Amino acid sequence: MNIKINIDGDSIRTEIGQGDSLLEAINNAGIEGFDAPCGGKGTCGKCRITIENAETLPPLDGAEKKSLSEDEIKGGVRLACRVFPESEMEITVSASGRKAAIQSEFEGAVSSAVLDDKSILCKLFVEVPTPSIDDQRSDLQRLIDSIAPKPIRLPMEQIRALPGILRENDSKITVVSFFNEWIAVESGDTYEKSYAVAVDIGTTTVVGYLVEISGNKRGRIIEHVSGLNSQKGYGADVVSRIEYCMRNEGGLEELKGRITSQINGIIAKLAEKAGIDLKLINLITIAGNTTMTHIFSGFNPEGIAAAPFIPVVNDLTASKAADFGFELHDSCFCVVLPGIASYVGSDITSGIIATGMHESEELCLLIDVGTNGEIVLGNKYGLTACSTAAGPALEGANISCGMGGVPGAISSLMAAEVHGNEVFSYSVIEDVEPVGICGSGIVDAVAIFVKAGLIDNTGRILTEEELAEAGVHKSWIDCVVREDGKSGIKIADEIMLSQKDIREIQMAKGAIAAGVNTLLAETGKTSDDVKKLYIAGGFGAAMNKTSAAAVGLFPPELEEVVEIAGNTAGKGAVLSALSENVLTDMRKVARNVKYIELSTSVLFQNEYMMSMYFQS
Amino acid sequence: MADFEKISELMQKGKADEVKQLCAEALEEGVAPKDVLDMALLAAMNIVGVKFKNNEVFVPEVLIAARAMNFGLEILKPAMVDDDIEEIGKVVIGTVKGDLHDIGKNLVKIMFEGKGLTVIDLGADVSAEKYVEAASNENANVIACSALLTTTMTQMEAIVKAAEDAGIRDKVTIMVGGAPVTQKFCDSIGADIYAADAATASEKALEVCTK
Repeated sequence: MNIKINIDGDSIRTEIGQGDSLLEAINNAGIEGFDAPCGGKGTCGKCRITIENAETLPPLDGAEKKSLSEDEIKGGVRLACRVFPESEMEITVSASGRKAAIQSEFEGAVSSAVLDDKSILCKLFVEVPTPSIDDQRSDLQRLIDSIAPKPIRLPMEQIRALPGILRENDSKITVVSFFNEWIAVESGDTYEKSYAVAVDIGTTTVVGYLVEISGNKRGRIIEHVSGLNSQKGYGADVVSRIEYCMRNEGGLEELKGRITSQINGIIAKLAEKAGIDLKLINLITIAGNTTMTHIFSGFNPEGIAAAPFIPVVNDLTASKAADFGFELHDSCFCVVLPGIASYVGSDITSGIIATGMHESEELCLLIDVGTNGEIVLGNKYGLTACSTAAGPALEGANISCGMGGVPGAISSLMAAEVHGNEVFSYSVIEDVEPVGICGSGIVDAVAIFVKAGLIDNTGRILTEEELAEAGVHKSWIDCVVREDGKSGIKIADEIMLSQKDIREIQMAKGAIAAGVNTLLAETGKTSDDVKKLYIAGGFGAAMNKTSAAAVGLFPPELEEVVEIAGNTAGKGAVLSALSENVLTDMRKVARNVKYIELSTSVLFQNEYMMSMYFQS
Repeated sequence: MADFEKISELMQKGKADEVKQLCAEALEEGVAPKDVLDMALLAAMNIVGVKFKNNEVFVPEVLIAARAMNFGLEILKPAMVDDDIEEIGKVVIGTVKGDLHDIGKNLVKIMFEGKGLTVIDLGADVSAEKYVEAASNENANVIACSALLTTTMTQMEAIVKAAEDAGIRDKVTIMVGGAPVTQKFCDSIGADIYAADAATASEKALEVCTK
């Protein structure tokens, strides 16, 4: 049946079958940035839509009764995943997530060692002798003789194309080598003009960078294009995506199709913005967590989901771009970068390479904060890594008033001198009326409330009596609210941090801190030995490091050595497109990093418990 | 006279050594070990359970209270005569196959023990066959299974099926829980009880065992 979806003044029509939910309609319609963090299980209550017009209204589901207020229900608000239309319907959705600020910047320029090296994708311009009655060598033989003694191994379709290419341009052609094999031919002289697209596939966001890999501007990043991962409607975390692949026939192909066409779109947009011909893009490098790269490659991700957590492949995979489903020419190739384990993927190997910690004399720590917090500790003498299930709280999910870093989110709080009623101030993304609070704001809030004494070291919000007894200023006490026996701390009108929210943050920060402490203990080091702490990822770029240290996301003494590193996964993908040595190093790193499985570590379990506390 | 209230308060705060000492003193004063257990330790754990359910205390506090309870039990257990140890009921507990999440399951176990139930803990990554084997060997009243992942909670259906195949389905109550599990899921796989939190799980298990 037909579903009409209104969004931002546009409307899209889509067809769904009997038994399909509105969430499936929204996914079918390819709407980006629609929030459905739990992937349609009815547990998160975030996939709100408004029914405008319907012949028959399907009955309210238990999950809807729980998540929606009476006013909302009266106004036609429903959960997209819980409504299974029986007839035509018109709905309105909002996709505020579309406006999310995506972390695409990274620190540090491309080094001369990288620029002086050569890319795995090289080109050679050749003038092949024109044939004559005296020179009856075959087309292929004349080419082989022209570039001898280098061996050439052209695949069938390239040999088929060869005569046309030779005659098109007076026998002037460019041969393309990939991993030291001459395997493609291009018409004319394209030696000076060759580009790569480096892609970071995050669970939430996807970024592509257009890089020049040959000519005198080698190493220049010309453009970048980013967007929310188009698989977002299938769940916020990797496990929901894997589950979708497992539960639905053709599910893997569907998700693979989503990401491939999204990257196809990003590549087209990059070429358009830079004003270059798509034919000049010869290389695509892909970094991402192991689930994302598996789905992208069409590898079954099922083994990643449950113990003993076995991926199909960790090492790099390389092939023609067309083999990955790209709509690009025959001399474009794609490399999926090497990862370490099921929960430490090529985004992290890229991060190691990007920060250079694998070459550092000093002990470095890298933390990539997301739904999974990946942590790497080490230097040139060895690296150890682990992954902790931090949960999505630091990205604003599972928090009562939480939201992503989009307009309307409170993104930071500052404690003020106590005078009058004001005890803190806050800032809102794009300076509009606040509608919620995002991860960086939540961390600030918790840090400030712990410091003010409203929250004790166990994470409990004190009662008004206890606060008065402890001599806390009345203006602070007024922030504490209590409704139906549940306590919270008011931040703005209709925005508060509930006791349960604080528990979510305790689990998230406790998991990361415990991961750090476990790596330190496993390697016999202490936090004093760490000379550099790189914080990667979008949340890392937005957070206030003093607040993060205060709540105990990492050992507080490391605040001094924090370096906000930005999108290190993207940077690693760029570097690996430019330099074969980088790629070789990355493979070596991926093979040699010692991975520590935390789910069976007694040490981690103990650290986790202790790390949930606050220091006050 | 032993101050049950004081032992309870100390246990809630996780003061293990002091709980141990006061339990020993109570026994020396001639208080029945069963009374100390019921009126101090189990009473304290009940309070912790309710507070945990209401988010007033959190996982670490429950675990340190449990540790203090065990310190007390070390003193009380040897002093108990057989008559004191009445078996209220037996629960087989574990995290399902493929899932290594231990903490939630341990909290439920603590609450079960707080209700005086006998708990057989199979640990994490437990196959359906193992649950059923343990339940039938131990003649358990309840199988309690936990899953933290949407991809592993499907294992619970296998447990229900294995209990049917083993012919013990009508003798054992199957209880399910964990973050992704819902009442609806529980109904859909034919399990008996869904519990949203550890305190509720223990109340429901006690109900089953005393019915």
